[in-house]
Amino acid sequence: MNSTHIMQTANPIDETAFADSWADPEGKASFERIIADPRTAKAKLPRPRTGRRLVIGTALAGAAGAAVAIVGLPGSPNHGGTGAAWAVTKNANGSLTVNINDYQDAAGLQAKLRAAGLRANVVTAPDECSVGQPNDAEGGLFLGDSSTFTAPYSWQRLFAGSPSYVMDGPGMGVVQQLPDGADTVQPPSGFETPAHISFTVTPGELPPGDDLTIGFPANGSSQAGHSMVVDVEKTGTPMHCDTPSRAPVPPETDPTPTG
Amino acid sequence: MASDDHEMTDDRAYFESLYREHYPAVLRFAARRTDPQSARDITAETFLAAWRRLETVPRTKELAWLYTVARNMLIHELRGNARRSRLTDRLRAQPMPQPNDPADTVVDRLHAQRLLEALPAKDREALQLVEWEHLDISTAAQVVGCTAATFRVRLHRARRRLLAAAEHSTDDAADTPVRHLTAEEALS
Repeated sequence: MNSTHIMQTANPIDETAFADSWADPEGKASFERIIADPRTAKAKLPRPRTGRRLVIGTALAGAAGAAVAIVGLPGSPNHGGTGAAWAVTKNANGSLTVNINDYQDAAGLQAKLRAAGLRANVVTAPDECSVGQPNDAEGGLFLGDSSTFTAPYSWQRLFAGSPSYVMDGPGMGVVQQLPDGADTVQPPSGFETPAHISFTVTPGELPPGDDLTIGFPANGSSQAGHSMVVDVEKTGTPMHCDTPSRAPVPPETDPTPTG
Repeated sequence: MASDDHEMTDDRAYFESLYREHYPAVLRFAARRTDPQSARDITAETFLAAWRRLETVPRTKELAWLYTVARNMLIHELRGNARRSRLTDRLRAQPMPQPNDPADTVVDRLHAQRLLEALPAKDREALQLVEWEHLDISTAAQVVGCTAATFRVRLHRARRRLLAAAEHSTDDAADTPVRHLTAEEALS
């Protein structure tokens, strides 16, 4: 017995299965729905953008489905507050390391980042927002951790040098991109609020026509259910507010067959 | 406007060919990892993503791109559905045998699936992509988002662990009376 034999025995779906599935009623209906989807059609002119979204959660306990991810740093349930609110360090390779200890002086951070050559917007979410939402309806597609985080586009280059993205363990971090149309994903087990946020971004890798939008949580501090957002957005479409109660995929634009 | 119309026509023709060529493979990929209806849903969502981002689909690596999207949607679905019951999880993890399978085949399949399920998730995924989807190392590495070298090590380790588990289970079987699993045991 070898591993190939075991795997072929375990394979629940034959290699020839579904050969004509694209043409069966469900496959055809799915195709027609995708092609006819009004949101899709609308997005084709002008062309849809490839929205990518990095969400850095700051507090999740008790916030069902609210915040989504953190960058890996030592965890602490309380927000930091000593020293500078934030710091921007220019690295030898042209990247910028952004440390945020307190969600204050958004305008100052924005000016600092822009002066360092990064097309950045830094905004604070209104009180009612658990997490700011991008205007980009495409959202992000990919979800993962250090080993499974897949960035076929520019994410890995854009955020190269950031702390490792680790899924499990208290105080560790997660970086997730959301599937199309999704507002929220579930936090991983063992999630703890990070004391501060740090990430490294390379301005030269920001795709032309995009800005990096950093959304400070409401009230300028981390609270349960509030999150920080780092979002690659089309220039001129900064983040807006939304609530976490919205369905992950708006029904009117969901092309997925149901039932 | 005329060029826009032309572009739309080209896009649609390309998308239709993409759909015809790869829909069955993406559906198989999803159906091996989740229940039949979710597999259809994930396949549809994967192609919707392709339609919306047609210009980003790499023309020489379309299937790998589609697998990557489907895989990430599967991860999202599994993580986002925390309220599913344990039994349902097991049902999803172990697709029911086909009704016309001989009994021995059913037992063999359940046994092989148990060995596979007992592996760490990354090992299991590496084996599945290579043995079920027949991806080469570099393509499989692209799908899971690691380097080819890392994937190669992972695959080697996975094969070793799977064989060790199989040998161990054979040893166990030699020490205990042979009996068939009940349906409850198979799903517990």
